[in-house]
Amino acid sequence: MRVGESVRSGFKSLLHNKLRSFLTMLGIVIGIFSVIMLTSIGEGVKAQVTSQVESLGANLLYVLPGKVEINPHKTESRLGVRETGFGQANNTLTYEDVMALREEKQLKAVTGLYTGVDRLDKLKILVSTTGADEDLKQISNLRLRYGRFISKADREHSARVAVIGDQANKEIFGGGNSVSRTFKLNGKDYEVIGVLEYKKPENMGPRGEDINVKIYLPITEMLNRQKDKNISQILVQAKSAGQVDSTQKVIKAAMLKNHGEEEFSILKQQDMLNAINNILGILTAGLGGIAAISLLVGGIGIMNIMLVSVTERTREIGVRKAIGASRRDILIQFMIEAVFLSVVGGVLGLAAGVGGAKLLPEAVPTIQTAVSIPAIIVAIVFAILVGVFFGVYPATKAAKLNPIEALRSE
Amino acid sequence: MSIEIKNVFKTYKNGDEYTEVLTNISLTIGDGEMVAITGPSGSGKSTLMNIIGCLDRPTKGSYLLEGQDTGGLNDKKLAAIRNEHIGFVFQSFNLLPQYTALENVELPMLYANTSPGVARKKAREALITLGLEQRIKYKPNQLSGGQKQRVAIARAIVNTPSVILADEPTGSLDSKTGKEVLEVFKTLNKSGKTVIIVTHDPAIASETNRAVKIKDGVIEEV
Repeated sequence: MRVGESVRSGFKSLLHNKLRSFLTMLGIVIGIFSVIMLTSIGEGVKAQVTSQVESLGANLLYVLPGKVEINPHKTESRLGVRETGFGQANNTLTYEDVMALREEKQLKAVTGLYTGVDRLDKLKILVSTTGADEDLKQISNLRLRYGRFISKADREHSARVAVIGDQANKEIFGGGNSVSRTFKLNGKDYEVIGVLEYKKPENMGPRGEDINVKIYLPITEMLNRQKDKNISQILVQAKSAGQVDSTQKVIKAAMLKNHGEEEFSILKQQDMLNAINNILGILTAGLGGIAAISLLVGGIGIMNIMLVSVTERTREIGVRKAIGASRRDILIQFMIEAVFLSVVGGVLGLAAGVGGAKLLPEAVPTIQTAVSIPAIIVAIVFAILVGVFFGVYPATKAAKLNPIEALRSE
Repeated sequence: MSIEIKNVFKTYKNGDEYTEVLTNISLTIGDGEMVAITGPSGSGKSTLMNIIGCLDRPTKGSYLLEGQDTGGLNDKKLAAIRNEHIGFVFQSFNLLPQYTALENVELPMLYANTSPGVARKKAREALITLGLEQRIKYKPNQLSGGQKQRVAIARAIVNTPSVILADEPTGSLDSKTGKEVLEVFKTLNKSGKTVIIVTHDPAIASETNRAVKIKDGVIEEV
């Protein structure tokens, strides 16, 4: 029989049992739908995080306390334990480091960052404050609506001045130009020297905090109030993205003068991207894998129904053989039915998955999705393979039926 | 097409037990004959018909169809022989329920790789010949028993086979319809086809020019 005729006849058999065919397909529809949805969400998160990390600038380096192995390599000895951890417990960065780095001519800008918690007297709440150097404005590309950012003089004199975000300005002063107005932190007056422009908050990424609630103080002023002089991290801007690697070496050399051993980590954007992509890649693959299980279950559903169908249609197979169908004809007929179920199910699932991936961000704005073409291709190929794989056994069984016994069956 | 069965045995294995269904059967049916194979149930007449129809192979002995020994043919060749040279008619019609009368009749031609257009035309002609012009688009469950059997006969003859094998073709029909169907077979025989009817009904056997009686796997009377 010609293949075109086999397709037509397979189609007819499936239409004969519409509800059953649809329910069988549903397994594949749900399988493909979940594969597309979950990988799209995974890819969406990846794209979002990547773009946020990239928005930090390719020429930024982060110096963090503690040794962080972001791309761990295997050591030969199994006894070795990797020293890790960011926390304040083993915080070893000091403001001395910032000052030492400022001496290095190859660095474009350097700022220490100190994250503290202070009492905002007016609202009787604790707020997060950030100590920074004057270079932060350039490094983080901060835009001011009113006034100016912390200056070198402010830093050198540990001045009690503050640059506040848009939301902070609204809550403390009710908005407007608040430059020269003062507010109290821990009972002491701080003068506002600048108000930042409103910026849409980003919800993810290593530095994606809401800039609008920030209160920046000169880092020296904050450190003066503390017993320990440790800072949270140092941000360094290289002169260009091409100089990041050499800058990393310069930082390392300068830091080692102050530290006996390498008890700090210097991270580049690329390191973070690699690490994030690693983690999210595994996550996406994991999600896709879980979804693939449902596809497998769908495939088993097809096999199950095809086996039932072969049993039910034993007589039909006998008749077809009697009027001249060869084993091959019967095999092809049942294979086509199985593959047809999985392919139509796959296409429906694909449509639902792509549609769902497009609609989800509108329903849940915090989730972003990116439909990946490879995932679509893999899903469709997988659907066909599921049909073939789970169709072969029932179809072979049908083809091998003895025509006499098949005709005799009720 | 001449049918020559020589010293055929057929044994079925059922677990450890062997059942001999046909014992040393020899039978020759000439071109254009109309033969009835009769015998009580379990006599082996259906098995003999299956062997003649190339649905089954003898355990021992040879079966020559038009001088060609079918013993050495593979599954595909046997399927082709069934398709081209033999037309089956069954007691329970065995029409495919999801297909219309026309599509049922087209089927043997489609397995013979006839183009769909030609198949449709010939199927229509066959149905018209059998007086089913008004029922072409009907599905089997919309047809009466006699109509179903006529569709089945149309399906059996559409590939212009030389042998028509009918297994109790009137068994599911009332006597009047049965007679009509029998007339169809007679007409086919007159047009030159070899017709072999397996039946336990002596009345039908008497309508044919030759009756072969089988009992316990042995031919009793030719």
